[in-house]
Amino acid sequence: MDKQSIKEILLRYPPGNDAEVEPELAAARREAEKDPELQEWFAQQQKFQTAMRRAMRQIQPPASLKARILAGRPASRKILWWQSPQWLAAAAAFVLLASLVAFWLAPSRKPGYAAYRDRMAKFASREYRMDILATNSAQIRAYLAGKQSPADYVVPRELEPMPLAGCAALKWRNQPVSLICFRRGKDDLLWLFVISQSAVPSAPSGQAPQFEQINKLALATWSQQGKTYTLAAFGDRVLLQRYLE
Amino acid sequence: MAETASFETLVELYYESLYRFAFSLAGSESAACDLTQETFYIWQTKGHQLLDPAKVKTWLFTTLHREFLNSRRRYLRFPHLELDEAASELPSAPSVSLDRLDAEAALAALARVEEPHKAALALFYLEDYSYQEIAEILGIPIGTVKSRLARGIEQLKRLVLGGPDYLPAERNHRG
Repeated sequence: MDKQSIKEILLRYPPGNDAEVEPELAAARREAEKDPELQEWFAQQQKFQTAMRRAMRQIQPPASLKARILAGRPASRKILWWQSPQWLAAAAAFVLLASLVAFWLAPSRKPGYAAYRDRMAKFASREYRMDILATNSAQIRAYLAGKQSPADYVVPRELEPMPLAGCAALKWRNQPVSLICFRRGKDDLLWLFVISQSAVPSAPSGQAPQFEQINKLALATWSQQGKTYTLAAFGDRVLLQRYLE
Repeated sequence: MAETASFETLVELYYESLYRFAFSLAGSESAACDLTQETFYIWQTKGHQLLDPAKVKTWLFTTLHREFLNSRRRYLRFPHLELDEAASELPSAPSVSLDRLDAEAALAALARVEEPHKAALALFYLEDYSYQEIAEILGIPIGTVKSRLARGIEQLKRLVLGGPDYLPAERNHRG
């Protein structure tokens, strides 16, 4: 093996793992030990590897992460008597009957604000997408108007200077929802959802934003000129207030 | 089939290492938390399909990597510079003494490495995985693992130590 080939192989020699390296690595190491220059190079290489491994392993998760994970754990898998097929079938029939009765007896009402808010929060935090990528406000409004989605929305004064990223025309319970994305820094976004106020009558009706926190997502909702706005971002209320003053 | 550890035990054993892997890939705490939480959520719904309990750690890492790629496909709709383009705009990082290399500097360097190499590098440094295990988690041939590690480590050294000679900062004779 020539020196360059030996170095190429030894680049990926794991730090502090002399006992279990694969034969190719062991052979390259033996060759390096015959050459003082390669020995020195390898020593420095391993110093780098060790430092990288030590540094990477310093990463610590936030204190709340474990509890968040455990909060989502399922029920025990042990089969209990009420989980037997006969009881499950009977329970399912009862639930269906009760639902039908409730449906026919309950007064007609639109899905509430909480359902809308939760759906937008889930969209932003897990599955958001943009229909078009655009930095031009007129282009975004034209696209949304073409999709019969709210296009004559009012952007808060402090939010207007933020660079645009794009938009999407969404639907919630068959009601059009406009999503306008603003870029915040290198990797973060601000999501602005706009829906007709009549589609979510229980939403905050005043111009003063109502702030909420869903996990790591901060939301602010207000209504103005027949539309309900929800601004969302990863962060907290303080972050959102910056754009809503 | 041998019994898998309880959910609480699995979380206790692996959530920190999964988080480190997620952070290495995603580069932000919030995204890393989401990836880690999502991985355990998927375990809750699909973990029963794992036939060999001894493979649970590999299963978790594979799942997290897949979830990262899925989220990355959505993220690529967002207009951002490709890393090669962005590198010329980023301020050049000063070379770091290896004794003072911390997580922040290591992650900053890793973030600038070309995308295909990052996951292999993260597994290599964080978990002492063999090439075979890395290949299995990432779903790539062992030969590809080797070349990604070699290329990735070359880039990391250039980014951390500064300069093409790979000399550690304390041996830099320019000063």
